[in-house]
Formats: sequence, structure tokens, C-alpha cells
Amino acid sequence: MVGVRGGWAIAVVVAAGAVILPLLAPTTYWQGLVVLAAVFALLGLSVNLPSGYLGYLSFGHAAFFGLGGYAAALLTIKFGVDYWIATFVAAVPGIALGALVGFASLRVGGAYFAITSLTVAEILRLVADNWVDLTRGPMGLILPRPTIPVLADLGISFPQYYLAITIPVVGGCFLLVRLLLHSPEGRAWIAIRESVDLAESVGIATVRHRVINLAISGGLAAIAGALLIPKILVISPQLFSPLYSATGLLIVLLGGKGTLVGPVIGGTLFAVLPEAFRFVDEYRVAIFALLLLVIVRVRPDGLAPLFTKFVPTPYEGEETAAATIPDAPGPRAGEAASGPLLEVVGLEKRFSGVVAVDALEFSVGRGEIVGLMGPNGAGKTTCLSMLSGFLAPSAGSVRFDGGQISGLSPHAIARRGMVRTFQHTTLFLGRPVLENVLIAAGGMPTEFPCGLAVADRRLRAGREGALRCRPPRAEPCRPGGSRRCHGGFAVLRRTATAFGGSGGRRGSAAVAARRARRGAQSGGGGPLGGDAEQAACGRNLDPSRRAQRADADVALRPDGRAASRREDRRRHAQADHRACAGRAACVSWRRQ
Amino acid sequence: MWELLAQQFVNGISAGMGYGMIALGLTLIFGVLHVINFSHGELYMLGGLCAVVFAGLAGIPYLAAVPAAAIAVAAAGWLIDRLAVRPVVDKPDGLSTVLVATYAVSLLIFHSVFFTWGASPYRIDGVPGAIEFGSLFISNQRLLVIGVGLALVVTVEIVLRHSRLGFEIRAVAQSAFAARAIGIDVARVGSLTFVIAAGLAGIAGALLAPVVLFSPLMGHHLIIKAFVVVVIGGMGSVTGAVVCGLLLGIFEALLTGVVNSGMALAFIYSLMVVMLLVRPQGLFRAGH
Repeated sequence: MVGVRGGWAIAVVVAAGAVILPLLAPTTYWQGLVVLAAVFALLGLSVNLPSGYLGYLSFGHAAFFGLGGYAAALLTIKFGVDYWIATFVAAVPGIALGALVGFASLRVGGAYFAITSLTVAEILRLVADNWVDLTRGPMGLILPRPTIPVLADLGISFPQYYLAITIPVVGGCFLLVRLLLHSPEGRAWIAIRESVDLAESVGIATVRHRVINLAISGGLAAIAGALLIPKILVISPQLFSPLYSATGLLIVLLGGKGTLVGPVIGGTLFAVLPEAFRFVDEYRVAIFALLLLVIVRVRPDGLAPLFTKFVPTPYEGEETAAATIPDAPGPRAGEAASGPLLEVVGLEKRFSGVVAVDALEFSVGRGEIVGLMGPNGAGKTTCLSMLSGFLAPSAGSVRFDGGQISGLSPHAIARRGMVRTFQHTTLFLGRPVLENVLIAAGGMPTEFPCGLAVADRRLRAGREGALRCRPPRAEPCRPGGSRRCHGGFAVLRRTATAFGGSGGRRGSAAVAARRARRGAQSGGGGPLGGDAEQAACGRNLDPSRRAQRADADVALRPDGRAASRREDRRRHAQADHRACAGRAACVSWRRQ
Repeated sequence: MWELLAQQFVNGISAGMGYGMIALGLTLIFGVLHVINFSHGELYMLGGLCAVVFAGLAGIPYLAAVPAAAIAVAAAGWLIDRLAVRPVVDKPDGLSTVLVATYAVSLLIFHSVFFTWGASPYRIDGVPGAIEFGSLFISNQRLLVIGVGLALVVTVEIVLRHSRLGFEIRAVAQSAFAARAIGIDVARVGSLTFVIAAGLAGIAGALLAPVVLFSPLMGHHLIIKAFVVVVIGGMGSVTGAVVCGLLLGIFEALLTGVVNSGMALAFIYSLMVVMLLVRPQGLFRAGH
């Protein structure tokens, strides 16, 4: 990531390019080539939004690309709108179609999105081919060259100002996406890519963000399609052909998924390569396909890492970074109210014939810690999954903070202040430590803890090196892990300590950042939920604490010490007894 | 008018049988490996190509060319599984990598064939003769498609329900993890499923080539229809694939008799989007 200044740098480069390239490019041919590269880069950028940042590969971006082309052409020809204005208006149908396709398919799964995108492109191709009254069918619409008389009078040739307009438009789209990526919106996309369940559990409305992502992507692809028109001037159903979908996807995969430089590299390659491959002419797509097969096996990240790996990541010492995290804000005023915080009545879950949870009733008061005990298969996790919205109850009701929450989606429940953490370590492993915290904090700007706001600013300024290191993918908490990563985790621990307290003794960074009033935990939880100490690193856990964690399913005393073995055994026995009646047992303590 | 529709209905059954066979393969692969095989349409096209090469150019009798085409395409399927699916499916992000890899394979096959063969359709003769019922006219080739298609679907169903392999396939489809735990060679089951699905696509291509005329584009058009069928039928549902394949064939034939065929297809494809909006799990699968 580059800091805010990076954005200005890009803007300057784009502006300079817009002025210099039209003058430098010696012939109309070269100017056309640069325009094509820019259009392909924009197409790649739009494909990259779902494919790279959201994790849903698109095989049908020609749908949006062609729609933009047709929309701009029809607006110009049938309604007399100026072409250059129509280019931007063309984004509207792209956005609408993106939202529709996104809503129809993204909530179901990646495979469905792949299929739907391909099919929608084919539907539009068939319509363009057959609705002859509107589109002139396979003959295509013919657009007169959209000249701008004022510029022509100044002695600037059409290819020159076509290029001079295209570059800033494409550059502007890149800056817009870059801005989005640094906002809670972009962080939500990346959180969804890394883990949909975890994103839901920290309060991100995953369906909404997926639809927004594809709507923006559709709009960008439509602009790209509209920008291509002055180059081709004949708008035929070919614009919807799978070749453009393939080009968009190949640009992203060759250039590098989930990077901004990737589409630029890929777009340039795809504008230039067909020229270079002219000697094999018709087989070039086959050669690209072969190249792609090799790439997914040997270089899944595309070419972008070649260009970015020499940019050093700044790193400051662990203590320095940790010291910048301010103290936790105090408890919110007016939080205390009467009545239980969480009230579970007649909760029931059946999986076909199996009754997993049967007529469970309990309530949790404010400041109370409640443990749910039971042997394997008693339904503890099922119960927590229902409380947090990951499973719909078969019967019964759950009230939290005075409102009914059964039937709500997990993110809606998290936003009300009840956050679920998972039994196994659950982190956005591909993301830096601070970003993990920011993702959890990002959903609720009004309650954004001031300390995190500071940290966020520092992250944007690009100075928070330790916080930006990523936990290693395979083993997040290897005791002998590198110092850098340990540093990052130590900071997470500090953050957790700083903001802890509102989420109960076992409050985690994420839970605390949400200002959760109650953290629902299954089996002790992972670092983003669960024990912040464990997040720090495995080696920071002394053996007795490990033992305590092993028992965490069963007993957690308010004073934080593990229950004695004898006490444990007695509770186990009780739990077994109650489990015979088919339900998990509830044990609660008042906080001292 | 009614005679035309009745004729279209009968024609639709044979086309639908072909769609059902393709969709059956797709849905088997999805059920077992949880991936979409984007190259499935091209396997169907290869089946047609094999029939053309064996029967049309090499002069082998058509009825011998069909099983030969099935074997050749099954071998191609084995190769695809080896080169593009097996090495990447278990990697992190494997499912989307398989999408890309099989997509690359489909581009590779299509463009190689398209530019070697050319775009022109090629006519081969299948089984000669026809049967007439009053004004209805059914060619023997279409009857062959329906008969072989039905036989294959029933065979697949019997294998799935009653054989050792079928038991293993169903186990892996339920949970690859649990299947591995009880000693099933999950990789082998995956490969076999892929090969069976490819063989089905190859037979469908070889059987339908005389009906629809062979063209390198036939796979591209078919894969989308097969996608529509599996989404509407329910991804992973065998019954859904076969029933919806037949329905799509009949519906398409009837619509084409009434309106412009391009618009008819656009309408049918849109049904898939509608289905995703109202019942994303498809017709033949229970909801969550």
C-alpha cells in the first residue's frame, strides 16, 4: 500500500501522461495502441474488483463492456446526446446490470457467479443480434467520429485529443477505486474475500458489499466499453463476445489479481501482444490459453509482484509502534439499563431427525458471565451459532438488549453489539494486523474508537510498519516466528489490552473494537475473538494458561483462574447428567 | 400449427436428451469435486469432431464411430483432469483456480479446432431412415439419441445407487474428508468421475453431430445451455440435470417454432437469472 501521497503521485503521472503521450506518440497507429491499452486497463480494473478484491471470478464482463458501448452509441445516435457525455451516462446501465447480476448470483456462491456472468453476456449478445430495430442486428450501429470542434480548431488532431481524454478518465477510475480500497468499503470486500463467515461475524453486511462491488465494477466496464467506440466506430454484437470476457480475465490474471498495477500491466500486454504475436495470428488466443494454464500453476499471483517486490515495507520497532496506541476510551455513559441483556426462550434446532438443541432457556444479565457446559455433541456450538445468526433456529426466540434478534443475519446481530468468535483461530490471514482490527472497527463509523482512528491515520500515512506485516499464512502463531510478525502480533495484544474491558475479561481486539457489550464465544475463541494473549503468540502462553484454555469450554471463573480439577470434575458430572436430558447446561457467575 | 408444434416437441426430446447428458456430467463433477468444468462444452464438441473424423473422413461405420468418440473424449477428459484439475484443486483458492484452468482448456481446445478446421459446419450421416406416425416424422438418428441417452442415464443412476464406485462417488460428494477417513481414494474417485462425465459429453457430441451439423462453435453454445440446466435443476442434482435438460430441449424447440430462435434462447437463459433470484438452490434440491 502506498500512502495518501501515492494517490497524488498517480494523479500527477496520469495528468502528465495525458499531456505528453498524445504529443509523443508519433503516429495515429501508436496513439490508437495507447488508447487500447488504457481501455483494456480499465476493463481489467473492473474485472479485478470482483475477481481480485472480492474473490469471485468473472467470466462475462463483456456483458457490461458491451452494454456500455451500446448505451453510449444509442444515446448518441438515437437521442442526439454528445458522445463524450454519453460515455459517462453509459455507466448507469452498467451499474444497474452489475447490481442485478450481483444480487442474483453473488449471494449463492463463486461458481454461480462464474456461470451467471457468462450467461448474461450471452443473453445480451443474443438480444443485440436479434433486436434489429434497435441495434441493426449483426450489421451493427455506425457512429460518426465524435469530433470536438473547439479542439479541432486549435489544431489538435482527433487521435490526439481522444487519447488526451481517455487517459484522465481511466486514471480517474483507478484513483476512485484506490480511494474505495482504503475506505471501510474496500476493507469489507477484502474481508469477504478472506473469509465470508468471519466478515459476517464482525458486522459486515456481506451481501450488500458484494452487490456494491459488482455495481461499481459494471459501471467501470461500461465506461471502458463506451471509450472504445471512437476507435472501432462500428458497434456490433461482437462487443458481447466471450473474447472480451476472456481478455478482461486474462488481463487480471496475467497482470496480478487484487493489485492496481496488475490491470495496467495486463492491459498494456494485451494491447501490444496481439501485434507481437501477429506471426501466429489465429492461434494467439490458444497460445494465451496455454500461457494461462502455465501461469495458474507456476505464478498464481501474475506479473505484479515483479513490479512491487522492490518497494520496501517500512518497519519500526515493536515498542515504538505499540506505544502509539492510546488508552482505551472509558465505558459508555447510560449503558446500564434494567432487564437481562440476553434472553433465550424455548430455543430449538432440528437437523432432519436429530434434535441438536431442545427447549433451551437462559438469560444473561449485564456484567454477568455465563458458561455453557456440555459434553461433545450436547449442542453448545449449535446454540452459539443460533445466537449469532449463523444458523436459523427451528423454534424459540432470542432477545438481545430489548430487541428480537432471532432470524437476523450475523452481521446485523454483530452491529447490535453481540459478536461471535470462533473455536479455531480465525483471522483474515492475508491481511496486516492493523487491518484486521480496522476491518472489525470499520462497520460502525459513529462508534469508531478514537485510538483506532489515530491508528488508521497513521496507517494511511504509511508509517505503521510493524502493524502492516502479515501473519504467515500456514502457521499464524509459530513460537519461533519471525520478529517482524511477532511484533505485529504484540501490537495486536496491546490493542486488545487497550480496548479490552468493554467486551468482558476475555475481550479481544475485534470484540473490543466493536464496543461489544457481550462477546459470545465458542470454546475460548481465536485471536480475533477469544484470548488476546494467544493472539500475541503461542510462546507467550505459559503451560498453566494452556491448560486453562483446554478447559475453557467448560469452566471460566470470573476471577480468571482455572477452576480446580475437582470442581471441574463435578461440573462435568453435572453437565453429563443434564446432557442426558438432551440439553447443554448453563452455569453463570456474577462478576465480582 | 399444432402439427408443427407436435413435430417440434418430438425434436425437442432428442435435443433435450443431449442437454441432459451434458448437464449430467457437469452436475456429477460439481457434486464430487465441487468445481465447474468450463471445458465441458468443448468436450461435447470434440465428441462431434471425433464422429466426423472417424465416420466422415476415415470411413468407419457411424455406429462404431460413436463408442470410439466416447473413448477418445474420455481420454481427453482424463488428460484435462491430470493437467488442469488435479494439480490445482487442493491448493488454497483451488476451486477458483480450477475455474480458470478449465476455462483456459476450453479456450485452447476451441481456438485450436476453430482455426484448424475452420468455421464451416460439416454434415455427417448418422443412422439412415425415419419413422412416421401420421404427420409426425422422427428420424432414426433422433430415436437413437433418445434411446442411447435414456440407457446411459439409467446406467449412471444404477451405477451410482448400486455399485461400489457409485457408493464411493456418493460418499465423496457428501464429504471428501469423511470419505478419506474410511479409506476411499478421493483423488481416484474424482478422476473417474471426470472421465465418466467426459465420456458422456463425447457420446452426446457424437450422437448429436448428425442432427445439428458439426461446427466448432457447437460446444460454446451448448455449455451455456448446460449451465442453465444445472442451475435450474439444482447444482449437483442428477434428476434435476436430466429432467431439466429434457424440458429445456422441448421448451426451446416449441419456442423456436413460434418466435425468433435467438430471442427464444435469450428468454430461456433469462429464466436462469430469475431462478437464482427466487429459488437459488434450483428445482430439485431441498433448501437449507
